Amino acid sequence: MLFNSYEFIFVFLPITFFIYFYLNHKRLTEASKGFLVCSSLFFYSWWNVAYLPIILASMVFNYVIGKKLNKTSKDKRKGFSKKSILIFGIIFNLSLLGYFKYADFLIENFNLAFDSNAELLQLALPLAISFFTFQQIAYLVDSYKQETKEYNFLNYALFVTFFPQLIAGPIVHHKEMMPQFAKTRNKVKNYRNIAMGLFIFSIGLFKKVVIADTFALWVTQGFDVATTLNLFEAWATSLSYTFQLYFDFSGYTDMAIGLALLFNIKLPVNFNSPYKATNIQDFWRRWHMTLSRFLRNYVYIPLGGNKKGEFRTYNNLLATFLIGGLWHGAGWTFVFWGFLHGIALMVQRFWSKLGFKLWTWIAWLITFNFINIAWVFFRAKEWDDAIKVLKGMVGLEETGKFTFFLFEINKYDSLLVCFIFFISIFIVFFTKNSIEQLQHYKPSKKNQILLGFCLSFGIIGLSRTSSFLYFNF
Amino acid sequence: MKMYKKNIRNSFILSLLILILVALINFIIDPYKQYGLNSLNPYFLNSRYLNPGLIKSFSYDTIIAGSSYSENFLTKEIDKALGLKSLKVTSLGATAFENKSVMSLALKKEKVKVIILELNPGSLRGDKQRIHSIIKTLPTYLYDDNIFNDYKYLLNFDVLYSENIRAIAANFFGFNEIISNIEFAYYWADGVSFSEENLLNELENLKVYKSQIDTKKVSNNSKLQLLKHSFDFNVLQLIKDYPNTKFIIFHPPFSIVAFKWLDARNQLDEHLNFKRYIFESTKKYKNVSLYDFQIEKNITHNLDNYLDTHHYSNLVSSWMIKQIKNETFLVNQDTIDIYINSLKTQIQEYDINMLLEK
Repeated sequence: MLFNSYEFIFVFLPITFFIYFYLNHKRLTEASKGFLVCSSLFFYSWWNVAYLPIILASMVFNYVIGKKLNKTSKDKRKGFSKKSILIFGIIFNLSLLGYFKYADFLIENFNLAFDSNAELLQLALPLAISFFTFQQIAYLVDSYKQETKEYNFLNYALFVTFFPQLIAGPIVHHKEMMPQFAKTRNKVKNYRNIAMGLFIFSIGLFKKVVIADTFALWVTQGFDVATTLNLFEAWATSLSYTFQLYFDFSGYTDMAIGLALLFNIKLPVNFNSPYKATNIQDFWRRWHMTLSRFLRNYVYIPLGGNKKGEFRTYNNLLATFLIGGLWHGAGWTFVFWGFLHGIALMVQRFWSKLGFKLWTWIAWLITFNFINIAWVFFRAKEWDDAIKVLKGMVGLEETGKFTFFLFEINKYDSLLVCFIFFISIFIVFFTKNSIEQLQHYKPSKKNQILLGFCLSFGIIGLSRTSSFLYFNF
Repeated sequence: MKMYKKNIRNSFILSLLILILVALINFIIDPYKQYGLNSLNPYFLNSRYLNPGLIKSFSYDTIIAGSSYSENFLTKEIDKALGLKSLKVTSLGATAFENKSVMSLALKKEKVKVIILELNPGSLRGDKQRIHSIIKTLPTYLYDDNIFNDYKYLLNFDVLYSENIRAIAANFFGFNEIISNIEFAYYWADGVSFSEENLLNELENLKVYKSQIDTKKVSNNSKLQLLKHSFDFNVLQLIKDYPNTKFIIFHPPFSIVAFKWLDARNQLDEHLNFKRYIFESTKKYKNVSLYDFQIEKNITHNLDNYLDTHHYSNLVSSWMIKQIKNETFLVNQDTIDIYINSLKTQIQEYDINMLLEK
């Protein structure tokens, strides 16, 4: 089930909310937890029930391993050493992810390299597998380090499946979630949290279905339909995607944070005005922050971080981002996107070692443009599409006459995109982001109206039309 | 706490008021004609959304279904030539299943005497329920009479904004008037030029011809099987279910270059076998007239009739109507072999290199 769907907003959410607090009100705490786990699993299965066993198996396995890790002391007097249990656990998680997400990618490349014809597995990717895999790897490592422990399967299941963060993060830690579920005060309805939760949920919904989905009109035309793009079209296409992705993903995270707040749970911040970043490192401290946290703590630092000399540091940066790229999708365009970011971080590190400083606005301009160009590879379904857009962006596709294909496709929709463009530039660069707004939330008239407006237009935005308007046959 | 509770209630009330207002606006303007005809002419652009409304609201005894190859049919010409009252419900890149959806709705709603359906093999490829890849899903809530799913129409962001503005701009401010004229519904031949030069440019631009010859070697039975399944499901079934409706189905006259291309990709046999299958499976039904316009050299070899390898001009559309009226190019037991062999010979004899050297 998606947050931006009728069945979620009008059926699933109200029922889950009321029953959860009703059970708590009746002091049936364990039942309320069990109910929340069951409804989260229902939420997950709505998409495809065939994948329910996968998440269940993954959960049981990791719970058992985690328990073993908590109980095994460092010295290995009997049985396996603690480290080998951890390694076994991590390998299992990565194999599961590898099988479902990367098997076809490997087969394709194998076929390409050896000119063979091995059949693809054509597995549908289980929803959220990338997220719950990383989340549970983090849990195992934390258990290994004795930073967290869990002896109750129901609690563990709640940690993994809690529906606000199940599908697309934020990637949460066991140690930051479970104490919140345990608190008695969090088991009663809190109208302040509800008001704030609805507020941020509605903003997120609006960002996703009104803003991001409007940008998608140009993005689809530019990336998937057009055969060539001139300078103006190509920049409009790539910038549209840069904004679309931000509003889509941060909107989704806002919804997740809002939903969790309804249940008195605070999820970690995931976006902090990333396009205001003035260098790449800064960007990664603001974009998908819980993923950056994971990659830093569970990939970069274990690889040695910056502790093993300059050369290794550069290597580790690149390796971390190649992995990060691959995590986003099984394809070379994703790997290349990760590669670009890795290189950019290396360049930045080298640059700052030299001691140069740039004017802030130049630094911002370079950073933003780099991010924008790198996203082209992230979005393109094929290399050729990426090349097409980039060629257009450097003006290699000039035909001599000024056309604006994107605009001609559908004037009124394009007017809307232009309008949303201006609004977005204002929102992205010159206003407080939704999380900052939430932190200073007051039950003011302004916020009431904003909530009512975003919620209603978010609901209207749930139903849009998809048009195939291709006048250039 | 009380204050927060009140705030939430106020916001909900505001939301509800906005939603009611929006539903009311969409209901009154009704750009997709779901609730009958009002004083605003429909704006013929987003066909997959508009067509079901046209079917529900207009009166007709004939519908024309198909893709861009059928969009330049003028209903006036058809009505005059065949003595019918026709409605055009075509869509750009319509798949067979999308055509079936409009045909089924019309057959359920109205007493349909005739259905004119284009048989474009591209539309029948892939899964039998395939929807155009850019559209992804059909707005099924518009294709039924269930009022309980109309909220997806009445509370639809794009209807509220683009569709309503289009309807109002076209009706009151005269923008894009032609797009609001039912006689010219979905007609696109006006703004484009048909010439051999265009077609050559396409070949040059795409540079596909040669690469297609070299790389695409495979064409197999399984694809033919899929085509047959799709035809049975999307066309034949309706022919069987509605014996009192006449189905005029036709193979559209693509240019000879398109067929050379097909041959180069090793798909010619598949195409010819499929054409034979269509004849064999429909011949016993009295309510079917099958036409094959792909063999008329005067049309298909004259590349000035074309915008690209496949899209022919409005004059060709008019020519087809005349042939249907005179019942020429009708496929039957006597002509099937002649037509298939003739196309095959034409393709073999046509010298594409002469064209490429131009």
